Formats: sequence, C-alpha cells, structure tokens
Amino acid sequence: MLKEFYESLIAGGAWLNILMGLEVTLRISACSLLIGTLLAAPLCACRRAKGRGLSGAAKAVIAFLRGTPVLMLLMVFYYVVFNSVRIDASIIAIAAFSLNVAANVAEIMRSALDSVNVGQRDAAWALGMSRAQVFRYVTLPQAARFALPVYQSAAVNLVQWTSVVGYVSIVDLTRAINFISARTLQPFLMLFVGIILYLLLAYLIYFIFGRLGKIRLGMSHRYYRRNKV
Amino acid sequence: MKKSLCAFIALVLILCGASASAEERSFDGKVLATIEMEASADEIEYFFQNQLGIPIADFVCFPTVTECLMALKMGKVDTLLNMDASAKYIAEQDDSLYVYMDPRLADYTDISLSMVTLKTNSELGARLDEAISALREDGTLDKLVGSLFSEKAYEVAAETDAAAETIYVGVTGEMPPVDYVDASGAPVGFNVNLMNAVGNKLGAKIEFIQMNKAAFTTALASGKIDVAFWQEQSVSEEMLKQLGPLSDLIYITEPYLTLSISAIELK
Repeated sequence: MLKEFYESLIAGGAWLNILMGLEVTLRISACSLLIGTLLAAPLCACRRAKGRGLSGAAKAVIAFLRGTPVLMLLMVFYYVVFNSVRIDASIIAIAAFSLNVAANVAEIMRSALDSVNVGQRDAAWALGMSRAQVFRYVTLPQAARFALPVYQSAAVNLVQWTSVVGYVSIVDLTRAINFISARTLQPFLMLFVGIILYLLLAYLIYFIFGRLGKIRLGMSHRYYRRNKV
Repeated sequence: MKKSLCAFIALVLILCGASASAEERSFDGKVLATIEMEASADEIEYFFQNQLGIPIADFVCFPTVTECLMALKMGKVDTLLNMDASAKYIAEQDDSLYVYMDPRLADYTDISLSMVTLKTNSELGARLDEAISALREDGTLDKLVGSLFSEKAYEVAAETDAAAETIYVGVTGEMPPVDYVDASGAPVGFNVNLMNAVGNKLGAKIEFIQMNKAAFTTALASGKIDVAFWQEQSVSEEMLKQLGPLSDLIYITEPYLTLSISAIELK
C-alpha cells in the first residue's frame, strides 16, 4: 500500500502535477463564479424588469443557458466559436462556465428577491426611504440571507462540473488524476485521492461562505448614524 | 480418524490441483470487456456468439483502460481484451494478473495502429505516409517497436526549430505504454516518440494536445488538431463490413504498427 502510494503520488514529482491540476480547477471555478455572478446581476435585473420585451428576452436567455448541458456549451465554444484562435483553453472554459453560472445565479437572485415580503418595502417607503435605501437596507439583507445557502451549493456544484474540461484539452484535477491512474494502474487509490481533494475544495467553499454569512448587511448602526433616523 | 481425515484432505487437495492444472482458460461463459471502439458492445457480443461460436456471457466497453482494470479487479468483468503491448505493461505493474489468448479468436487478434487526418487535409496525410515509410526504411520504427517490448527505452527528441510549421497532434494520455503521461505531466510513449520522429522527417514542429478520447472526432473536424491516432481491429473490421463503410471524411494512413490482442484475467 505504502509502495503504491509512493509510486503514484511521490515518485517523479507526481504530486506537483496534481497540485497544478488543483490550481487549474480552482482558477476556472473561482473566475467563473466571480464573472458569472457579476453577469447575473444585470440578467436578474432584466428578468425582473417591468417591460415585457426585456423580461421575456432575459427569460429566454436564462432558459437557454440553464437548459444547455455545460459540457456541450463548452465544446461549442472551444470547437466552433473560438475555433480559429489558439488562445489558452482555460479562458474559453471560464467564458462557458461563467454563462452557465450567470443563468443559475440570476435565478437564485430572482427567487431570493421575490421571497422578500412586499409589505416590508411599502413600510420602508412609508418611513420615507428612497428606492435605493429600501433595496440596500431592507430588501438586500433579507434576500441575501435567503440566497446564500443556495449560492453556496451552486459554487460547490460548479467545482464538480469543471471536471469536464478534459474535453477541451485542459489538464485539471480530474485529468491529472486520470493520467496518473493510467500510468501506474492504481485506479482505486487515485479515486480516493481525487475524492479527498474535491472534498477539500468543497470545505474551502463552506469555510469562505461561513465567513461571508457573518457580514451584516442589515440596518446597522452605520445606517442610523448616516441617516440620523 | 485423524489419519483418514488427513488422507481425505490430501485427496481433495490433489484433485483440486489436478483439475486446476488441467483446466485451460477460455472465454466460455465469461464477461469480456475492452476499450470503446467503433463497433458497439452488443455487436461485438453478437459476433463472438454467432460468428465465432464462443459462448461468452456478456461484452462490455469502457472509455479507458483504467475503468476496464477497475471492473476486472472488482469482478464486474472476467476478461479484459487489450493490445499485447498494453497487456504486458499492465501485467508488469500488477502481478495478480495473467495474460493469455483463447485460440478460437486467433484469426481476429490483429490490431493495427495508424494515423488519421481529415480528407480535406489529405496532403498532410500523404506526407505522413511518406514519413512513416522513411522511418521504416532507416530503422527508427524498428527501434521504437523494439522498445515497446523491452526494458530499454528508445526516445526521439524533437529537433525542429520553433519557427517551423506546427502540426497539432491529439493524444489521450490514457493508453500506456503507447500514449500516456509521465510523472511531470508531459505526454510520453510510443506515439509521442513516433510523432517526434515524423516531425523531424517533415521539418515540422509537433505540438501535442491532450484531450479526452471522446472529444477527438470533434477536435479533428474543427481543425483544433491535425492528426489523431487510429486503431483498426480485425474484430471490429469484420463487423464493420456488415455495418457499412466508415465516414469518407477521414484519411487513414498506412499502419505504422501491428500488434495483436491479448486477454488479461485475474490469476
């Protein structure tokens, strides 16, 4: 067992290879989550817009991106849309995953914002708050509390979905592990190593979101001081 | 009582030993597995049962050798069919495995390795053919084939300068020892050495692109890679005669290597 462990992970610096794969997985996931979330905000705003056309268009875009398997989207991006340019494949992967994340997170945002009781908004207006203030101090804190757990599981899912990037010539954590198990023919050992590493990534996300959850967005003392309520 | 018990145990042991040594391994009643190819698992199963008359229990295909090996070790399948160079590599890594061949498959064990390009790029295909025959003549190919079955490695380094035209070659990295990835993450193996030698002959720079086997057709059709590797197995060839011709969009070069299929089982 120890010998197999050594041959698969230590000999010839194979662990370095796994670390590089881990870095690729982490980079693609983090960038896609960030860009996707930034794209999701305007998409969600369009989706909730009063205008039929804008809302309908956003609805169609979201339905298309959520209904498309991300692997197919990725392959279309790599082999069709960006076929003639030889740029780093991970940039293309980030583009494809960002769009998928954007659609999913837009829906998370919409359901979170819709979950806040309309009566609260009316009450805040009655208190003389501006639209921006109502959003910042009443709607957003409650919606964020509702959205955070769902957003967190979307992030964990994203990390796992990125394991398909092997289809577009990227060597991520899954590929690095598959290469080693094909070379040393110790597939079971490498499966467990892979599970442990993906679990670690998931726990990293839980940790970060645990910290994020502690940030107070509500009617803090800052609001009272600034607005002299 | 003790004596008769001892005698009985001895008799049982002898009988077991005799039957084990007398038993010839065959495919009868076994679940066979191999790496995915053009023909589907059901078609291969039909071929075994009806054309060859070997009563196999089932035939399964897996994407890579890793999955095949896991299935074999966990008892999901009984026999693994793979090319002999790979079988040798696998048996070297793991001494609980046994390599043999059922004589009834003997006419269909050939497996030839070649390269494939798009028909629209057949000029490249012709150049590859020329390079392969040149390598065969100057003995490089023989040295490479020799290194597949011996301990000493024969490696060919790329000698072309960076400014030369680039040929993009797709590799899976999941087919040792023909095509795999070393501990540092670089593609190695027979195919890589061969392509380097071909690149040196053609004066072209070879760039290896590692991707999942399932993406190869798309990559080739879209032009992301110019060359992929191709296997023709006499088993599936026989079946493809009935299934119809291959796509006329691809150009297959002359085979650079002919191996035969071996069966791998647990000891």
